[in-house]
Amino acid sequence: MSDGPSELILLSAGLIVAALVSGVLLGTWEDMSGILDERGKQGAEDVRTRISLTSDPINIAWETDDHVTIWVQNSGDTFLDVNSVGAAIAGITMTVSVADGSEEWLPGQTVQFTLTSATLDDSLESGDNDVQMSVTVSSTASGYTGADSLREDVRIVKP
Amino acid sequence: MSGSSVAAMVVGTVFIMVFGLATVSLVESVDESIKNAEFTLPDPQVVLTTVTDTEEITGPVEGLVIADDGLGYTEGDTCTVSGSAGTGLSFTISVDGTGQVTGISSITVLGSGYTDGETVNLDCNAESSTEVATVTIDIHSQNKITIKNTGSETVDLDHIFITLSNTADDTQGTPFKFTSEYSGTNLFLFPGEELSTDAFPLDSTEQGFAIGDDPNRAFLAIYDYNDAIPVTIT
Repeated sequence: MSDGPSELILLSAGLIVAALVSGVLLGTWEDMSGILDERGKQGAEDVRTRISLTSDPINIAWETDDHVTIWVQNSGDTFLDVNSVGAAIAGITMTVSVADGSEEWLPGQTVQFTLTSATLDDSLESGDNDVQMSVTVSSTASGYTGADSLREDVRIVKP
Repeated sequence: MSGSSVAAMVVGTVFIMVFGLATVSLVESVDESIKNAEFTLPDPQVVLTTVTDTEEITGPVEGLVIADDGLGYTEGDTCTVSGSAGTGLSFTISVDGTGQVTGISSITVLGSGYTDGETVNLDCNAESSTEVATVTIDIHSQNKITIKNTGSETVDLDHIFITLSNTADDTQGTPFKFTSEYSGTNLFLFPGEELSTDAFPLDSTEQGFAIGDDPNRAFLAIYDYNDAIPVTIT
């Protein structure tokens, strides 16, 4: 039998505290679960996004109108956006344009890009120029966009 | 048992169920994250075994030497040859005042399938010759590429790219697909398997080098894996 109102008060107080703590804990767990889910999906898209240089890194020709032409392969497992490619050579940002008319970039497919910079033209010497080239891409997946960067040491030959 | 104790048990049980469900949800999220982290992209390994630039048994015509100058030919006439297994050859001829063939003005179509050193008859548009002239054929060298899958993954042949370059004058050609010069029926290169392209003449549009050029380096790219070897030119 109940010992009276004091037991009821203690029970009620215990239940209220338990409910409050449970609410906080459940909220935290839900946040953790959501974050893990988000990061998982983002990470999955990042892992599936990859590019590789198809061009021979030796003897890449520097053309007279301040550009190089490179071929890059989608070596990942997701579609890439040909219009959101960034590139830098020797630390100088290049203007990137699609040279072969590609509008979509499927896994395994290679796309030809032209990287242009008058600034780089000024800094390159005639003959061999061993420099680092970096190219960044992003996927076309909706919701979570994957990204990847390619860093290659290349030899640019300026006439 | 008092009513309050029963109520406490019921509420406690509900709490346990809710916590259980939340824990299951959390564990599922963790599992999914781990699964994503463990995902790996293909890592093929394909090497160039040999790349040759040589005169094959048959090929496109590089030059024609007059073996018999014949008689009765017309200056500037467009000709081909007869008596050869090759097809497609077309050229124009130079003729002297007596109608004898003195030389080949230009080869307009190189054709294919001609045998080096074979002597064949001229077959011209203006069939007025009274004595058939003959020419001896010199064929162009052609390239042949052999690759091998040294990895443990099966590789889509369509994803393998080759780039030829000439390190002597620092020129680089255009990357082309292995399958663009391969006429076999295989779609994949299985671990340990070796495949060769057909013998193919260089093409400025396709490989970035003219038919008479001699690039001396071949570079293979398949995803993040590369290989390069010298071209054996004979």
